[in-house]
Amino acid sequence: MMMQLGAVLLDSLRLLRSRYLFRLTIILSSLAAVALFATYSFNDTGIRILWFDTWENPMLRSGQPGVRDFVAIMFNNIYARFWLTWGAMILAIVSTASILPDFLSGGSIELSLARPMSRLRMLAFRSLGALLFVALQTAVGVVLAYLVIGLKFDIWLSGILWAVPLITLQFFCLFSYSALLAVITRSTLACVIGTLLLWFVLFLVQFSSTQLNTQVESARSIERRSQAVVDRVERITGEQDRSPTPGEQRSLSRAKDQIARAQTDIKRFGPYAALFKRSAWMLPKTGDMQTILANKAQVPTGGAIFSLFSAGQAERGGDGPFNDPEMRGEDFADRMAANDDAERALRDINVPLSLGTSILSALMMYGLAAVIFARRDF
Amino acid sequence: MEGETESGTEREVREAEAVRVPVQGNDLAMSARRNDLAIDVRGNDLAIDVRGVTKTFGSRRKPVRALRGIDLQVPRGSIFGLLGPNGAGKSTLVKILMTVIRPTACRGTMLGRAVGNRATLARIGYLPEHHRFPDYLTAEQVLDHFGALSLVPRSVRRKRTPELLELVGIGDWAKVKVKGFSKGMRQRLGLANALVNDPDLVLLDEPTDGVDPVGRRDIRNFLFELRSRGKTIFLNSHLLSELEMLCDTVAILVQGSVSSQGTIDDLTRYSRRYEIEVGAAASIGIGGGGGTAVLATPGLATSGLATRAMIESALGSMLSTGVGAGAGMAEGAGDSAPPGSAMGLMLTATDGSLVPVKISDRDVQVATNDPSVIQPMLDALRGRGLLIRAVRPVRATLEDLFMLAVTDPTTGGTLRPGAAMENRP
Repeated sequence: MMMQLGAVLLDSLRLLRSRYLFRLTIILSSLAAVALFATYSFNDTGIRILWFDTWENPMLRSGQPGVRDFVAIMFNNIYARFWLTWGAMILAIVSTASILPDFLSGGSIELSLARPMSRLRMLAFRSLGALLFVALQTAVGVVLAYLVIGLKFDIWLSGILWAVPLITLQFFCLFSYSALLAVITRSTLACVIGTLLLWFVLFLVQFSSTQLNTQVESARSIERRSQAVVDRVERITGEQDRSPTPGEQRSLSRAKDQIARAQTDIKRFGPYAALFKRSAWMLPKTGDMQTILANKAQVPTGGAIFSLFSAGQAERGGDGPFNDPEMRGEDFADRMAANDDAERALRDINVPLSLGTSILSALMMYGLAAVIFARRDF
Repeated sequence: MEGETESGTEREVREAEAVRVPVQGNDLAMSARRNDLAIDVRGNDLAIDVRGVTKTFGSRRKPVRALRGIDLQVPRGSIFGLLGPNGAGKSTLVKILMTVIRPTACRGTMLGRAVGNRATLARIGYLPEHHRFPDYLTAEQVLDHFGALSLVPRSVRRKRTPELLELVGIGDWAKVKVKGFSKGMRQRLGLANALVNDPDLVLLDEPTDGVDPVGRRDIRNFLFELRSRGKTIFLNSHLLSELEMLCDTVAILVQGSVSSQGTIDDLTRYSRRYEIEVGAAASIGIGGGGGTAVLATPGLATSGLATRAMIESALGSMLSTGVGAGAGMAEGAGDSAPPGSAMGLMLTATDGSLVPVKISDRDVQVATNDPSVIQPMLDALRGRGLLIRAVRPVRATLEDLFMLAVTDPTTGGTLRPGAAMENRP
């Protein structure tokens, strides 16, 4: 079996090497990694990009903890989120879409089926070959980014290496649809369009689920925080046996108002959020994989990112958006805190359950593809 | 798919049972011969031994019966040819043997193990029709890849790959990618690929398709060499002349059924005859071109009818009229006997047996392969002053057999190509 597996993987490697898109993706991944992490530096006053002026920021001075956060944000929120999970993934889907249809095409499949090897194993090995594509291209980009970051800033973000298995797993889930479409249609075009369409549906379900659940979690946070304000004021006035001061009265009234609004939001969005969350469980959770990567790379939450960037403006005392008095007001701070709570709640993923159900969902697709393949005449 | 392990008794019964050839035509004489044709496939030494192979495609409402109970025996160490018109089911049968297609029903063995057994495939080489190797691989990579899939150890692959490429005549192209290959070269590579696992049985589906005459000769020689090394070769081809040159045994498949099966000698045995061409008298040496005979009498040219009369006169005392005579006297095995031939001429041989004879304007056909039978006739013809221009032993060709198999006996036309629909008889 190992000899056959080795032969199929070697063949996949030769196939990939012959593909223009594979080489293009590797080059783009490398360029993106270098461009994102080798074109700026940190000094005693802040961050400097290429030869431009230094952006003064006390949190981004060389040696500050903010530097690590900044680099992790750049990796996760820019490189991984936009390139690895979207750009490179689309290229991978297009490049690998023909692997199974070509293998199953007339004149080619007979050569493989007439070997002492079960059809199930054949399909599994071929699919593994396609995974090799994504694993390789992701590994090149991620390892390069890891090395550039480590060598240039002396920050060794080992957490970002999780991107390789996680992105490959994401592809594994998407490729399961491609495999199913391949054994049904034997058409590369159907595989590309079908997989992208299904990915879009997955994205819509997960995006809707995230938005609705953020709304609900944020409302719950506001309710919790506002209730704490109410409880605190009532406790103080109760202990001191007096009426609330005008200031306390204002806080109480504002907190009660916020609780009412939060409860309305929970009532309005709660059922939909639960519905989408349940629906998402039955599907591969590609979004969760990005969240898991953010956790592994210890990427700060939105609030921390805001603090990181606003610190520079506060330092300079300019009129930028982070110094807008309205943005820095009480309401804004409450919203930021609530969003941070929501983000933390949503990032608190049960990793084995999330990945397990994703893998199970993909395996069901592969299983269906295998049943059809095993029973099909060629 | 059902494999079968036979008990001794079952095997004996099977071995004792001759393969009966289904009748396509209504030519009584030919039918009788085909029914009598029994190809003995005794012995356990069969590379392929399948029975009742059936395959039905399509839906239940519109089933297409591609194979309708095929029985096939291929002796080890022989070259076997499977022929038939387009859509007869040849490739379907081969694909079933190679597990590419799942049969509706199939009993039997290949290389002694049940058909469909995956491990057996390691001992079988296969060249599919219209095969397509990955364009990004070189010739040696193709052999290495498929060799590994057939579980050939790496060291053996390394040694065997250049040998095989050299053997099929593309040794110089080992490191060239397949996309640069011509059709003929791809076919040669396909042959090499079919042998990469040093198989005991090689199934070749249209191996000379797209190959030039020189290449075909090379492939023929190559197949002979394989047979001499004890390999069994199963050929699926349209090229009847090539099959005739190559094959020890053949089977003709028509509309999903085996029409006839056996050695070429067996299949053509009943078509064997002598043709005695009679021409101008040697003493005159004039006229008589194109088969026109002349009388021995000087200056008097004869018509064909006159020659025929002279022949009949010369052989008259040796011939009688009998029922069934004329059967087998057709030009080829594929032709039916002419109307009225049921009451034809018979020659009484020296051993007393009756041999059908047919006399035409220019020749005499004698249904025997025994040269002693025709000697008295030759003497009689010469004695009557007729010139014996040629004496030829004749037998039907594979093409004749093939044409007979694909001829609709009721209409005399060619049977419709393609698989048998369920509603067909």
